[in-house]
Amino acid sequence: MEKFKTYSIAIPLLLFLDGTIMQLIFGKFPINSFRFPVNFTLIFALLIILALVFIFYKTKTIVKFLSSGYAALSSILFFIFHVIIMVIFSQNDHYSGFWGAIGFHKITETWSYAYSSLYLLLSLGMVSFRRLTPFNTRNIFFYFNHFGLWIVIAFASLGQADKLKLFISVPENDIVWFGTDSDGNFHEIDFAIKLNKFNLAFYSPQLAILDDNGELLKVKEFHPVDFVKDTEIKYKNFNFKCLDLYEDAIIFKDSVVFIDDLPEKTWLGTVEISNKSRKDTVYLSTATSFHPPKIEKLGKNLNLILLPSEASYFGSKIEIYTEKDSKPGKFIIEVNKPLKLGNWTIYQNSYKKNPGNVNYISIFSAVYDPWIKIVYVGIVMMLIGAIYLIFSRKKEFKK
Amino acid sequence: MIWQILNITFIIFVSLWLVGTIFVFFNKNKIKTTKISLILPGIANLILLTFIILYWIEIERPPLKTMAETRLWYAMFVSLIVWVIFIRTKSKPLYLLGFIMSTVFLLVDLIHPEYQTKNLMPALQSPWFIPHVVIYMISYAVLAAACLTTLIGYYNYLKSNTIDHENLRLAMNLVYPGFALLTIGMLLGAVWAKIAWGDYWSWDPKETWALLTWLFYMLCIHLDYSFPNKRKTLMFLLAFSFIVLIITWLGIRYFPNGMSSIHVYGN
Ligand code: HEM
Repeated sequence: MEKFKTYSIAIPLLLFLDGTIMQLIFGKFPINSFRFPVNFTLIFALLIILALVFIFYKTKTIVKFLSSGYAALSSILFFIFHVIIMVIFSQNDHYSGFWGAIGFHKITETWSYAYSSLYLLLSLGMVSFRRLTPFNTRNIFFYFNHFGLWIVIAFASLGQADKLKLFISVPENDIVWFGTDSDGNFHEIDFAIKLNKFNLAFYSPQLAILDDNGELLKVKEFHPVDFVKDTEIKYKNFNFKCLDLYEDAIIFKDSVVFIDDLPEKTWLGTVEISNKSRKDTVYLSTATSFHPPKIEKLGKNLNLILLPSEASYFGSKIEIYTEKDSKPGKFIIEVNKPLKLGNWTIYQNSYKKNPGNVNYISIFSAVYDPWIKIVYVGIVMMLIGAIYLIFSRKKEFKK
Repeated sequence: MIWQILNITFIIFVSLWLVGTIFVFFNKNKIKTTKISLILPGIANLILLTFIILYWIEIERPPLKTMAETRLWYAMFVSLIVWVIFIRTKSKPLYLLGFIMSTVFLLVDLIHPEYQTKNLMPALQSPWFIPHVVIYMISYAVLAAACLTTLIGYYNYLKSNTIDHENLRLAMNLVYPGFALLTIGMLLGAVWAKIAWGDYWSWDPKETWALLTWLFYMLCIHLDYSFPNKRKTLMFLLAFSFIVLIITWLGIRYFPNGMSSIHVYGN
């Protein structure tokens, strides 16, 4: 066992050393050369090799070590090392200098990280083979946990070479058939999106108090409240009562004017303010990019305002044009409700205002991720294994 | 507003638990003691649960959005779990520590009420939201009980210089389900993220810390299974893992990369 202890320390050290040398010579790990069919072939080959080694060298050190608790702790700790780097060093490409050169500012793209994943796969894979026999309940769930994780690591890491995520910005009434990836490169896609209507809904705004620097008061003193009719709030010796709330309205020469097609959501609220010396009703309105807010100054560090309201819903009514279908299909895409379209899944990502225009631009992301189904198989296996794990130790409670 | 009666709820909760604790430690009549020390905290837990439900009804969304709200659940689950463990093991120190822990979390909520609003951003309007967060909260509470158990074991170790195996066994019996729930919470989160944004994992700081927590508890399980004579290391690892957990939950905003997380609660 002394031998195993030595291995469990030496292997991560050697892997890290070698990984770092590779990093310095070749730069980041070339994940993009693992596109299909390379990734699939490799994973398949890895499984075959693990199986053959397991079958023919069952009693040899390599199988014994890789499926031992030593290898488990050593591979998990080596992986933990990378995750710790990740929380200590800010993770973005642009850093140079020593830490940048050895990849600590983008640890998931280093050789060392790739080696670490491989080490996990070897250890997990070997122990999964070893625990295939004897075939009993405990081993089956062991297998679900460990081989499920094996599948997730293998297909999530090598599968990402094939993954493509494009952002597609479509203004209302416009049609778009290209997107940009996260590096800003243009890609043509094999379908086109026409945005018929972008729908947005808002929560009612909140009544808040700002100090004279424009900062919200500390929550303990006064926390913003949803503007709901007849809500009464006390602050210092003031009493505020929310009265009416108008959407898409502005205040003009002391009267409320409703305007259709305002370029942004605006709210106008009336609040009754009373204290010992006064009792009156004031108008407050939210700020937009085309008009200033209407606030009520009540004293030093005491400005009553309406905060801009938060979106409660956004979604897009779209038509999709593809080469195959002569007629466009009509769909609605919302946050949490993506659209599956062949190999692509289209998500509602965000939106922005079209400058100088009353329309919105809806921002979609289209994701091509061919290995997701296999990753889900791994996830489901792990879920089943975890459910078993919740109950597996119960009987050992001592009375 | 229901939140305004948190102080009353708090006082009732603490009083009931306190009476229960006094009975556990100072009364000699075993059978009656056990009954009172179970019934009163049981009622206290029910009252806290009722508070959460009433608050949920009032704000018309699951109260899982702000830090203050998650602390409320946490206090409830910790006291519930410690209560259940007490039924099974009659561990007095754990009873006391669990009670103190829930009290602290409720107290923080009284001091930092945070910003209560009905608003729930569209990304959180999903059937995955409740299971994901609730499972994490239960898991955190179970692992808190495991950590408290370990601390009791460590105290015994300092006193007698022998390792309290019974105690570590109890701790590990909590770590197994706690770790399993952590796994489930994380996987549900990954599936949800895939459905909402198209990526099941994005190395966001909160996700990275959550992974770290998971990996540390994984180490505990494997150390316990494969190296059953490394008890002292296990004790330290258990305590350390809980520190990582607490940073994941409460502390990442104080780390250099923390504030960029999309998961930082509240505003
Ligand atoms: C990085 C990945 C992992 C590696 C390398 C690994 C490896 C191992 C090894 C070598 C053992 C000892 C098996 C034996 O001696 O028969 C073991 C046991 C165990 N592992 Fe893992 N494991 C990993 C991840 C996991 C995960 C994700 C879970 C749970 C979700 C898990 C749960 C367990 C359990 C419960 C045992 C005890 C075995 C039993 O109760 O039969 N492991 N693992």
